[in-house]
Amino acid sequence: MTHRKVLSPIFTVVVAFLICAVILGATSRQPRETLRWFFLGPFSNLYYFGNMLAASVPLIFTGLAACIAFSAGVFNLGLEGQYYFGAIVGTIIALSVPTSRLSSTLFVLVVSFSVGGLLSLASALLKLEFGFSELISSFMIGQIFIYVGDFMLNGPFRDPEAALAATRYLDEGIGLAKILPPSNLHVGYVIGLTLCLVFHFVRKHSVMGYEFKTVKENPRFAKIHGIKVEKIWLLAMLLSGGVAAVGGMVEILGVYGRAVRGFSHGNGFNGIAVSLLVRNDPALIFLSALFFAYLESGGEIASLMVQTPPEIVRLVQGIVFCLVTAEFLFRRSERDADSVA
Amino acid sequence: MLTQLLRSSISSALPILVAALGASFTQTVGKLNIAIEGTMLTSCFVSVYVAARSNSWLLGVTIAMILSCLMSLFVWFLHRYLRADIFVVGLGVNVAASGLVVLLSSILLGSKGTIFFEEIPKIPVLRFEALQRNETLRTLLSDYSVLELVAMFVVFLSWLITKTPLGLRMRAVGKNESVARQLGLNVDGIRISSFVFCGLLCGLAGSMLSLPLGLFVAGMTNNRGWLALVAAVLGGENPLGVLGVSLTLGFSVALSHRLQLFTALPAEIVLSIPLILTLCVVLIYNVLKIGEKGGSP
Repeated sequence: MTHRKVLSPIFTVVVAFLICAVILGATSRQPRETLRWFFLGPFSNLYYFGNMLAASVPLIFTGLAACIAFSAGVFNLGLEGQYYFGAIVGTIIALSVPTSRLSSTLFVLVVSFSVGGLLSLASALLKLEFGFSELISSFMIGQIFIYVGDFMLNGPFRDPEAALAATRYLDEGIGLAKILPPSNLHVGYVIGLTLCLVFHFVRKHSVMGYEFKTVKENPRFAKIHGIKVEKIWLLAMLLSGGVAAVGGMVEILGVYGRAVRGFSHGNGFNGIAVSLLVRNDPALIFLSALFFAYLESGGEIASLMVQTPPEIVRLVQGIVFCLVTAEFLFRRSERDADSVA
Repeated sequence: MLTQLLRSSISSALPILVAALGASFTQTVGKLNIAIEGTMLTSCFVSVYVAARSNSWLLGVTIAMILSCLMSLFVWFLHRYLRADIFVVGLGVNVAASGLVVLLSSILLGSKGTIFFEEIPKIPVLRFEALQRNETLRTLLSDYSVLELVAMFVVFLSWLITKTPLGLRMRAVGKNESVARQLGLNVDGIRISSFVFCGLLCGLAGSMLSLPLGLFVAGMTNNRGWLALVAAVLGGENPLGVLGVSLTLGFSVALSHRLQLFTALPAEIVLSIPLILTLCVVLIYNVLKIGEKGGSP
């Protein structure tokens, strides 16, 4: 890690905080109260703190998903759709398998993984077969399946007794164990961290990791070297979509207990920024996920306590996106090979 | 029925087409600006708000175009001078814009939902009296609003620009930056001008969505910016290609509106039709292209 690699994300975070504070202060009637709840709210008690950690769980998964794709030099812009649709299909399966067994939880996660993986695999195939940019195709396929998911929740799989478009509640036995009751924090946090670490080691210390890196940096060189570039791209996309979908499923098993329309609310997209904020370093993804979750919970608490519009968070997240890859104050010659370009 | 469908295809295609041409300028210089969706959304809000406040739709459009020009220059600035990844910045602008418009509407107008502007000035409509007698001709050729006519003119203008020295220089910069630089072209200036065009066009496209209706909703652009990007990428540097793809997109959007009105298909499925159709068109296009070359891509 060079100096710049550490300083740049910190600088981004500081700038984001400042902008956030200015916007909050300017738009609120009681600026001091608002700022206090926004920035200190998530730490004010164990319940809010646990919820903040819980809110970072889906971001860890989608961040890792984005990171996997970036590591092989491909883009997966369909994370939102994979996260959403994979989890919905998983939930529907979960409603019809015998519950309260660890094996059924695992089975459901595998189902989500395959569904999400297939969605992203489709855009990888389009890239290889027809040379159609995976950037656009993954986004479009993702969007289509968000609509399909909406349709499934509102139509055939809607719980007739529910007031909103949602499935029936899952049996409690299949859900993930809570860590810090009464907050929402659940075992998914540990699963997410483990996956990140596994990928970190795979990337650093395995042949596959070497192949990923070579393909990302120079596909032509990789090909000459005898690496099957197409295979690596397909694999990276498959894993990326799969991990995103598992993230959605974990969120449902751990927090929601059923699939609700619109439950993904930007978690898929934010995964991209989560990964980029730490320059695609899987070992640090949990930190940037926590940062995003902190903003989100701060916004939520502030809107609960002093009625700030929660959309401020989206604005701030957008600004973070804009600054994530910017290089402030640093010499240009040091351009990071790891940043996506 | 069919003529009406065609007419509404043209009307749905125009905003997409205008934005797509904007994106296509940036693509020509090799720096595709994907902040289109956010830029359009912001100008949607700004144009209708300013128009209602000042009671002048012209002012609304102008301010929206200037603002979206600034947004697109912002993207360029972050990319060029802070070396940010242009693609990530674009995503950021899109996310920030979706928060910004809701924030603005709740601060300025006290509501987050659909906002109707009742005293919005009407945009003049051009009516050909000679065509009033023939039903088909009337639906197809008459009753375009001034905004739509301006858009058509802009489309023509963009085509013209690609034929001027500036347009050719843009292509040169996009094809090979270092060669263009060695030839003494002002690469930065040319790229900035393409981003200015992009901003102006997106501003116009955004105003075309909100002004005629006199209302604003946070989800107003409804992926049109992304559709425009698809049109720009597929159409490439050729404005006529962009025109073709945009018309296809406009047709599928219009078709999905029809289906929503006249069939019992669920709304979610109908909403996804433009995307599915576009994907199919893209696939067919790519397959044909490969077929022409007679080899792998």
